Amino acid sequence: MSIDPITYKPWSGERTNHLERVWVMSMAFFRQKLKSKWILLLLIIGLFLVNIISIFVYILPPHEVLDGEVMADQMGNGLLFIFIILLISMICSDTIAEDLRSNSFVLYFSRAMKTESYLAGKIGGAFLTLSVFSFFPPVVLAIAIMATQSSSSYGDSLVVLGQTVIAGLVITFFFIPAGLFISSMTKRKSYASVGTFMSFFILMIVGGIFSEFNPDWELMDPSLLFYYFLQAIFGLGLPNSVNVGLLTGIFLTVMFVPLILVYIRINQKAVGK
Amino acid sequence: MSEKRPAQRLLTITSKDITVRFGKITALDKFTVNVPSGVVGLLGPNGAGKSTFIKALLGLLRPENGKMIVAGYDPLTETSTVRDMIGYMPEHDCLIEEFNAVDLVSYLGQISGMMKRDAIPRSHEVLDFVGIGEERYRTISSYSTGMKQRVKLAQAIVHDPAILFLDEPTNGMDPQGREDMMELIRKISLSDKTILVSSHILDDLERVSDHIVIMNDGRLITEGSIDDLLAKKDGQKMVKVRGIPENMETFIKALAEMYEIRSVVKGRGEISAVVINKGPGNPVFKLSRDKGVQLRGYYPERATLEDVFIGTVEQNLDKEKGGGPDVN
Repeated sequence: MSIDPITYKPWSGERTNHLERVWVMSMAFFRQKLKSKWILLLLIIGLFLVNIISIFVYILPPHEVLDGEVMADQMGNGLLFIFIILLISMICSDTIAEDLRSNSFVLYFSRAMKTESYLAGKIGGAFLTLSVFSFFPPVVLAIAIMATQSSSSYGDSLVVLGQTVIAGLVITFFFIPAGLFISSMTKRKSYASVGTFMSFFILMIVGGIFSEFNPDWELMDPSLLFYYFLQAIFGLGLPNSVNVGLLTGIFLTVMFVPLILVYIRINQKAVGK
Repeated sequence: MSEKRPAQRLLTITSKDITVRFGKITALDKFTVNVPSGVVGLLGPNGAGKSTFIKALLGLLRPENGKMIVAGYDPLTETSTVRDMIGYMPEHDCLIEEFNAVDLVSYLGQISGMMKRDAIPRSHEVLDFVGIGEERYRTISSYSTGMKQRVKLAQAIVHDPAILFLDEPTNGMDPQGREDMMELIRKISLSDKTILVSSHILDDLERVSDHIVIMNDGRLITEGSIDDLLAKKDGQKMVKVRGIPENMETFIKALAEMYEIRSVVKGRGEISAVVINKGPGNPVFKLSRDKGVQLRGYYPERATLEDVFIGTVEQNLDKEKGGGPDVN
C-alpha cells in the first residue's frame, strides 16, 4: 500500500470574534516577554527589592488600617520608578520596531485587524508584562496589609484598596505609550530600548535644571509627575507650588499624545513595501 | 462568542475604474477587470501595478476613485469581512524571524480567528502540506528564501480562506522550488477557491492559471481564459516533413506559394514550418504526396503566454502611439 500524498485539506471551524484576536496578540506578546531572561531577571530583582522587602516593612509592624500614605510611599518610591523605566525600555523596545524591521505589519493588516486593534494588542501585552511588577504586587501588598490590620473597620481600608487598584492600573499604563512611540521610530530594538530610557532620563535632568528658574519645569520630571499623581489619587494633597492644570495637562499629554503619533506612524507603514 | 464564517458566495472580484496614485506616479490608472473564480494569473512586468491592485483589494490602499467588489463585499467599507475571506502571501520578506514556523503559523491562524485548539494542529497540517518538515521548530531567521516562501504560503492558507492572493509566490526560488510552489498552488486550486497569482514569470502562470489578466503601467491590457488567449494564433499550423532534402525544399517552396509561412526551421532530415491556413488541411496532405515527402506532423500551433504577453503589450503601445482607442 502506498503512502497517501499530502493534499490540501479544507478547515471548517468557527471563527472567534475580533476582541478575542486582540487578546491572542496580547497573550502572545506576554508569553514572548516572559521567555526573555533579561526581563525575567529584572522582574525578579525588582520584585525582591521593591515588593518583597516592603511586605516585611509594612505587614510585620502592628498597624490599625490600610493607610493611603503607606501605599503612596510604596508606589511612589524612586526604586519602583527606576525599575518601571528599565522594564518599559526592555518590554516596549521591539514592540513595533520588530514589525517595522521585518515588514510584518502586512501579516496583521491583511487580516481582519485594524490599527486600533493592533495597538490594543501590543499595549495589552506590554501592560500584562509590566503588571507583574507594578500592578499585582501593590494590590497584593494592600490586601495583605488589610488582612493583618488590627482594626475591625474595613471601610477606609477598602477605599485605599480601590485607590491602589486605580493607581496600579495608571502607573502600569502611564509610560507604555511613550515606549511604543519610541519603538515605532526605529527598526532597531536596541535603539528603541536605549532611546526610551534616555528620554526619561533627559526629561528628569531638564526638569531638575529648569525648575531652579520656574517651579513649573519640575513637572517635566517623569518621577515627580508620577509622585504627584499618586499623592492626588490617595487624597494626600499636592504642594502649593504645583500647578494642578499644568500637571493634568502634562499627565494626559504623556499618556495620549504618543499613542496618536504611533497610530499615525503605523497607518503610514501598514501598507508595507 | 464565535462568528459564523461568511456564507458561500460567488467568489469573483471586480474592479471598475480604480485609480491609485503615489504622489506623481499613477500605479493604477482606471483599472477595470473582472476576475472569475478559479486560478487567475495576474501578469505584468515589474511596476505594472499588480501588487498595488492586490493591496487595494485588501483595503490596504484607498483608491482615489473607482469601485471594487470582492465576493460581493466592498473592501473599503466591509474591510474586516473581506479580509476574513482572504489569505495573502506578500511578495517581500515579512515573517517575524524570532518565531519558529509552527508558532508563527498558529499565531497568525489565531489572529485570523481560529481557536488555539484548532490553530495548532492546522498549522502542522499546512506546514506538512507546503513541505516544511522538522525545520518548523527552528527560528525563521535560519530559513532559506525557499523555505520562507513556503512559510508565507502556509500562513496565507492556515485559516482556509475562500480567496487567496499570492504575490510573486516563486520570488527568489530555484527552479525545483518554483516547480513545487506551482504544484502546491495547483493542489490548493482543487478545493474551489479563487486564487489570484501575481507574477512576471510567464511559465509559472501558464502552468496553473485558468484565466489570465495582463496589465501594464497600471492598466488592463487584456484578459481572458488561458485557452482563449493561447488559441489566438488563428489559423496558425505547424507542418513537419521528412524526406530527401531536395524534395523538402521543393515542398516548402510550393507551400509558400499556397500559404503565408511564418517561420521555417531546418533540422536533421526534417523541416518544420509554421503556416497560416484557416481552411482544411487536405491541400497540404496532397502537396506532401505530390512532392514525395513524409508529412510527419500537421497541427494547430499553440501560442505561449509569452507570445500573448509580448503581442498584447506591443499592440497596446502601438495604439497609444497612434492615438487609437484605449484597450480599457
